[in-house]
Amino acid sequence: MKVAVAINGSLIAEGAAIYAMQYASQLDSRLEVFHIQNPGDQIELVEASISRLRSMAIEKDIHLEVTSIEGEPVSELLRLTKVRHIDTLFCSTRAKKQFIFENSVADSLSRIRKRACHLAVVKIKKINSVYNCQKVGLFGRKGPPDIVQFNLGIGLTRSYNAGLVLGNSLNITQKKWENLAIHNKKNLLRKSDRNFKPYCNICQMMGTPFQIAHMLGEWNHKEIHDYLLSRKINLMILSVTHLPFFTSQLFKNKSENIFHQSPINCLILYPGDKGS
Amino acid sequence: MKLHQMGIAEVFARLNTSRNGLRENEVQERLLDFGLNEIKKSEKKNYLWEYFSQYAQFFAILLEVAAVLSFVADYYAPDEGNNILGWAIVCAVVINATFTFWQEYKADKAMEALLRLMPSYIKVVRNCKEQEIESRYIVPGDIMVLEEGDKISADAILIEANSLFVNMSTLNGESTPALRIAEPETSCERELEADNIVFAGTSVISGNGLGVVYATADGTEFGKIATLTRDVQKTLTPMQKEIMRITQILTLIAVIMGVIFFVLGYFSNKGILMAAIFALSLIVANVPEGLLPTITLSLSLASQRMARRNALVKNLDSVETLGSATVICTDKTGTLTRNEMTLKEVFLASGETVTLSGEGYFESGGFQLQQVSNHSLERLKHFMRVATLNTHAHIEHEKLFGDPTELAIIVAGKKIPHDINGFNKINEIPFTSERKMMSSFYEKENVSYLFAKGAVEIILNKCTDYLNDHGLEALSDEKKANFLAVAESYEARAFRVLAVAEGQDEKEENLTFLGFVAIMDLPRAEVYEAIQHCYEAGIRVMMITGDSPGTAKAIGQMIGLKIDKIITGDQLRRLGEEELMDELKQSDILFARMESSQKLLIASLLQSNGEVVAMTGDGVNDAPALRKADIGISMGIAGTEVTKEAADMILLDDNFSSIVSAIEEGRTVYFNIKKFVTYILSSNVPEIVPYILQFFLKIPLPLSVIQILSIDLGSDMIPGLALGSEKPEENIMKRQPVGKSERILDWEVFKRGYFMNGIFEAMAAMFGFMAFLYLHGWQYGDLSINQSLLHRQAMTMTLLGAVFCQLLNVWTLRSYEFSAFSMGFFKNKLLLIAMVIEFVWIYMLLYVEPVQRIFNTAPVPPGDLLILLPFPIMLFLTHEFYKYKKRRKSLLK
Repeated sequence: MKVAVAINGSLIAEGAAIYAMQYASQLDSRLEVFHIQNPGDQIELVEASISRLRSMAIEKDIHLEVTSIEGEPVSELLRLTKVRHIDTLFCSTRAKKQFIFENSVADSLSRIRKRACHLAVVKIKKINSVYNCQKVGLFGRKGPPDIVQFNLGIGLTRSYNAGLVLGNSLNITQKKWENLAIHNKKNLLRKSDRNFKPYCNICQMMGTPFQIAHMLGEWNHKEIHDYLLSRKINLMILSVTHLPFFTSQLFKNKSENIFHQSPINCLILYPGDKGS
Repeated sequence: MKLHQMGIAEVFARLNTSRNGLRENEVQERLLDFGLNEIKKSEKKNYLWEYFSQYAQFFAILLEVAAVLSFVADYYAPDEGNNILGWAIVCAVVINATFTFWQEYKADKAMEALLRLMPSYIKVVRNCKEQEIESRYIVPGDIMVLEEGDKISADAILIEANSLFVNMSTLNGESTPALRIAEPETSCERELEADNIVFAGTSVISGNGLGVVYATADGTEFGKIATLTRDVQKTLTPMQKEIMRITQILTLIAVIMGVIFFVLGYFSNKGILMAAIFALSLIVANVPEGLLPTITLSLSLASQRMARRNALVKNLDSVETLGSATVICTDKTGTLTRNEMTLKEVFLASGETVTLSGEGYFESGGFQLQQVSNHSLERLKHFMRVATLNTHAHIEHEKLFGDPTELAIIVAGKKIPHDINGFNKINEIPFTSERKMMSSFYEKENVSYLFAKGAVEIILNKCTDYLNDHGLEALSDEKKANFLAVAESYEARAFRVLAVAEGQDEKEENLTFLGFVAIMDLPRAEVYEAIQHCYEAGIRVMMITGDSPGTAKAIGQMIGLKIDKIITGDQLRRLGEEELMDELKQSDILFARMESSQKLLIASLLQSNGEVVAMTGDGVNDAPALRKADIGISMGIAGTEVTKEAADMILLDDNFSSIVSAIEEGRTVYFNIKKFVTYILSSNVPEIVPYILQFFLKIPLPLSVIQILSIDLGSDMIPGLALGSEKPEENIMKRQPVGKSERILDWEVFKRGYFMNGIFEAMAAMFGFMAFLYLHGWQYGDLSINQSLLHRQAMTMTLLGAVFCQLLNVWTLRSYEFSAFSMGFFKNKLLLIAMVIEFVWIYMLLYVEPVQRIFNTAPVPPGDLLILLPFPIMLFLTHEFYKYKKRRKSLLK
């Protein structure tokens, strides 16, 4: 498995690179750093960033390979990930879209359906949490996380020596939940947690502290904010399921909505199309 | 490694910045990367939309349809008063919608109060130049300039600090200014505890410094509080749910009956219009139009009573929620204790113990000295002289100046007279957290003195002798250990112990140990009793404090708190949530060394356990927890504006016992609402039965729809309100809290309302109607009298049958349990006023012509009214007998 990151000399790109490095260190993989030169890029900032990443890589005993080329960022990144057989590409994204037609590389990459590698788009809210992370939360899906999301989650959790929180959305309304007796609530939780057993077993085998976070009904960003901040989670990892083309045009993706409104550092995973 | 643990060069490298600040193009890029330094407000409500959506509620739609049908009926059959009915229903709909809107959509000002803590402008260094910018344009990597009085708008690592003191109360509730330094905090794990960080939302009290910004907007600690305050999801209050449930049930009954009788009417050849009018009349008879306004007014009266007991309720529904509270999570300082330090005991090195009376800063008191010799009093006076001269605090015109511990010494000095004349202060070595002591240098008659006070172990280590009965004696290690043991015994009882010593050198060495003072923030006198009331009422009390477990436990024991377990903030962080939920279910826990942010988790887990949580708080950081709790209680004196805005209730005197009084009122309101729902349901039966009988028997209409409305929105309203303002029953705080599964509209209410009192009222109404007709020559089956004087008089009898019964019904319903005779005739003044109004109303119905025209009534000979008399008496006696049987049954149990 190979991990890569796209950088441009910005602080948030460096943050994404550090997450990528942490993940790579767990996979014993080398880290490929791609810089697709843009006319607006400040080369001295990129070089300073690469130099800092190099020294961190040496500390972590990771082989860092830097590729700096000119070209159109999205197509070049797609080409590089394909020819280098990259498994997961990390890419940072800005706070929010300023203009509707702004050319965001992460956004364009995420909309490409036939992408060979998984794409992890990173949003940095707090620089300090990039260097330190005590709790990682996997949220955003009904039922247990998919295996790619879990792999990324457990990888980052272990590399930070942190705890893992697995989000479990219960199929019950607030009203019904309130009317349940305590023992029935516990039974419901246990029953619902059964699907998480394989993941819990893996965490136990690896000695990673974990817990399951329960939420009622559909996830919404307010409920998740409440949970993330009251439990002091430093990094949230979300996963997106590709919606059919027409549906995706009509409805906002819930995970993306949570991602954009996240008050903490957040990473959203777009699974790759392994067939392409 | 975290940023605050790194050296300044490393911090600059990680944030890609320098002491000269960022360049303009870097700032622009970072603004796009991290966004503006703004905390998003809650989405704005469209109040107009919200108001009109009240008219689309199920209950409202039902009444609107009824109004439309009334106007349609008036079109086809004018002059039958259906237009008045239509307008009356429209009025009921408008009143209900306005009340509900007013209840639910009050402006949420907590976020506004929070955002006021953020500055508009801030100074930064950019491009090597200091410049003032709008604080929303600050980005990570900016160098922030900090000066006295500045509000801080982002989290920053300090790279320079000159005697920099910051008010951190918004984040940790501590009002004492915190000293900030510019050295890396290598051993400090948690950002909030690092001394080299300044946080957004705090302010510079004194000094100056430079900081490199590392978090902005909702990435800051303050941003987290704001996000939580904005986003914490509050569930509907039990009252909101109950009102929804009651209206749903009663509306359903109304609709089902309406549909059945519409179908029956249609098939019995009454015609569609008549069948529809008939069905509509039944629906109007069934729907308690006055319920919602009565509940709201009753809650508002209760909130006024609570305000008189120092509990200011912001959200009316909270009044009833308080009655359901099963757990109170309370702060210690100021709520359970006085928040005034009191010097209770003096221990002299010679072995005497002095006990002082009088609590707080303003209560007078004296002292009791266990003398060991004739010189004991002299030594005590000397001790107090040394202690009081070595302080900064003073009290002027009942205003306090200085540190609370020193104020306690000053107050004690007034209780133990001593002479300080002739002493002139020369110098001072101030107290610092590192030295843990302070010294003052005095001179009197050319002799120099050094007076010292501080932590016992520090002072004892600087002493070489101590003052005992025979003069100075060398301080041996054994003696030192003895003094330390005595001090520890005080500390174990939650006292703060300060040692006092004197010397004559210029250095703090070779001192003479004089003794120590034991100071405590004493529990409020009334708290012990209030907590016992809580236990009797089935309410658990949990203390959540930032104090050490030892102090918290000692105070807990003094106030009679049940403590099964003590959990500290650190332990809480490590505990699994399911495990903590179990602990919270089974044990009475004392939470010590807690951060305010942990309150939110405790509130959430208690709620998951099915508890109704009342939570107190005063700092800005408490706001999310207050939002989350079923009842958020802010302190009125110590509370910040933000907590007051986020809370449901404000304690005007910060006193725990006021919470218990408020709970008593809350419970009273719950049972009072139950009483007047029963009262309202009782009058529904005489409104429904005449329609059903008219359908099956050949009799004229006994009660018109407008007369039904005259009961629901007229004669029932003020007695209903009077029931809502009944005083607490004597055993109200001995009952268990109202369970979540308990309903206002339960079988008991139906039984008493519909099947007991309601039946008597229906009997009164129908007997009055029929007896009056027969007495005045009417023959069964003669429908030709419709709208004649006789018919109107008979309808008046039906109406008065119900109204007379309600007159006594309200008296017997004053208690669901106790006899009406034990309730005190004059105790509920509103009820007496209601009685007078009722009699005036009856007179108007009978004899005032415009009222007669509207309500279709006519004068009835007074002798005929006597026909109705037995029914209210029967109703009253039957319900009293039922209550008596119930009391006996529960006594036997």
